[in-house]
Amino acid sequence: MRRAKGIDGRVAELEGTLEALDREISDAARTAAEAARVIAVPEAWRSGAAPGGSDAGPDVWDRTRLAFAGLVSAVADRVDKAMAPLQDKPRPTPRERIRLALADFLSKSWTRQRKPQAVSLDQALVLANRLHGLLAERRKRMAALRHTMESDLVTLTGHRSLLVDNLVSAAGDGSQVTGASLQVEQYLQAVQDMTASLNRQLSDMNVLFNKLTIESESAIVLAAVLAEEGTEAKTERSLDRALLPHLAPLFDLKDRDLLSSIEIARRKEKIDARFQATFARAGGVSDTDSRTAGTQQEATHA
Amino acid sequence: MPERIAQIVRRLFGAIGRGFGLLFAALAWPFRTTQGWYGRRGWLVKGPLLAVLVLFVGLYGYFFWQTQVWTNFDPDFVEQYRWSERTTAAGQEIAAPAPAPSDAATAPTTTETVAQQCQSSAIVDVVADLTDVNVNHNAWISSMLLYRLGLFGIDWDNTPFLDNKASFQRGVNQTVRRTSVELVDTLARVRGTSGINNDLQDARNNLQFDEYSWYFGLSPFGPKTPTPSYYRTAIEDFRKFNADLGACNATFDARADNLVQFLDRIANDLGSTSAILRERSENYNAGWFDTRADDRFWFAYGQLYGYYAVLSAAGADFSGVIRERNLGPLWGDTLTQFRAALRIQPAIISNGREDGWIMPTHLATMGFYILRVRSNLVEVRSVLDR
Repeated sequence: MRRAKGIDGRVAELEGTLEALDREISDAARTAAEAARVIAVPEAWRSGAAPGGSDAGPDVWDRTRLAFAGLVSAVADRVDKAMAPLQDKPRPTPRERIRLALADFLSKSWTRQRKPQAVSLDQALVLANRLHGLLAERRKRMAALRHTMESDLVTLTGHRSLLVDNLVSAAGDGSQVTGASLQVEQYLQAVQDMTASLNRQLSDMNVLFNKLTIESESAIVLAAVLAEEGTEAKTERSLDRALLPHLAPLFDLKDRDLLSSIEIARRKEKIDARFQATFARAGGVSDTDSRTAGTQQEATHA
Repeated sequence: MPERIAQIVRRLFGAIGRGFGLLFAALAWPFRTTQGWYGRRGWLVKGPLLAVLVLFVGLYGYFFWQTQVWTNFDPDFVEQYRWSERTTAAGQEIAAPAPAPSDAATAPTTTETVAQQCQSSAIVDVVADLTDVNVNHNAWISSMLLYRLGLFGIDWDNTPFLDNKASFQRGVNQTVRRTSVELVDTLARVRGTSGINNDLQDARNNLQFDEYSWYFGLSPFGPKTPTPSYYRTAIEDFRKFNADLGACNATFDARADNLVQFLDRIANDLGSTSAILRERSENYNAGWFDTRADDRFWFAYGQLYGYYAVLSAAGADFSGVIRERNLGPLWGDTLTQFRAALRIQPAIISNGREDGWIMPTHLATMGFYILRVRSNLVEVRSVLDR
């Protein structure tokens, strides 16, 4: 039986996958930019390379986004777990407990890999910091790439007839105009599909980013409270901002007393619902998480 | 001798006459044969055939009409907006007019909430209107069935006929697409701190849709949504954004660096169009018979038409930046260059030699105007960059 990966292993794997995906996207964008600059179908496309990167690109992102969502959920789960003792929730009745246990049993996935878990609030904050850095940089890079690609696409579609002419003259056979026209249409469609895929990625990243931010804010507030009470062990590193550089703006908010649990709760419902809607259907959120969605507190598991 | 010359001339004209006669007979032969065959059929056969013929003539008549009549084509249409009367840059709050003394006396003493009003974007107005003219006031030629079918299978763009309006529309559309991309990612958001506006993003996505889509397509095979439907939705998205902006619920960041980036994109666009014109003008000299010269020319004309309107609007939206940087005269000069380029409207496009004396070279002339405009834009950019 394969041993379940730890959080670090999962993050490292995620970084590796994203790096490969980004390289592919950048290569495709560079080729499209070259095509737009000279208004000609590049050699790479003619020799069979897909203009929008390999066809596996969207599938890779589909898997990666779920892994990302799983890690963000791990942060959220840990925050909820730490928060539970502070909440004065009514105990479930025996009937409710049986129903929940049954639902939990039925929804268990026996084959799926175990979901990642953060063992302490401290680790949750360190994980949030890493994911924050990863997301923020990639989002910025992808937004710039999307802008460039869309701009190139405008140029290419505008000069489509010239692309056809150039393709025909490059092939040296004037009788293949119709075929060339179809080919150019397919190339442009592939570039357009890629920009659409970038848009989807950005949209997913925005949802992840918002969820991660709100959970990080909760964790910072909670860590401060627990540190005062001495409830959570090893919380001293959690608030060491030197170790959490990507969360520095959130610490600044805390310093200026702009982070409060009421304010967080107000924004959390909407963000959780969006996260749930984006990732639960695709299976990125754990079964327990999607099952318990419904009330404000339950939604935080997303 | 004169008798002999007269005989030769008579023979020559006789031969020409016979040639025309044969040509006419050859052209008329299928119709005359069909007419004979048609005359002998009953109405069960005649009726459907007649219906098909009427449909065919009707469709081609409509197609011909649509390609030749350019409704609301007016290079001066920007004058109607009266942007010079605007005093507030796009996205800025409009100061409420001070109440007249008589009104002040009767004004309620309790605090009343006055709805906040911001200046809407002239650029967004103009791109919505350009698209409106393209798909609502006129038929979108590139996705019409008969345009897609071509002339006996030859793409209309490869013939000298009926493709001028299509190329012009695509040129205008290119400017609208370019502007929408810039609006989403640069102009209509505060960089790094505000999200992308959903209406503008929808507009951009709709405008990116293929320009040649009819109700049915072969690749992929099956029914499709035609191009104009997408563009019409984009118009609504633009209007929605502007309504939100007018109510101060959206953002328009009229900053100098945003204007610089926008001008860069436009200058690049014009640069690549001028390169295309130069390539055609240098390498092909078929004069009136260059079948590709007309679509190159009208595409470039469409771009200039669109950018003239968009930049006129940008002058209003970025009025604050233009005033601060003292760009007024240079900006005005750029627009004058655009307008001068739009004066060239030849009935038939000729791509003769640059030093030719019988056939003009409209492509070189258009290229010259585009480069003048481009150099003005570069100058504006350098002033903004200082």
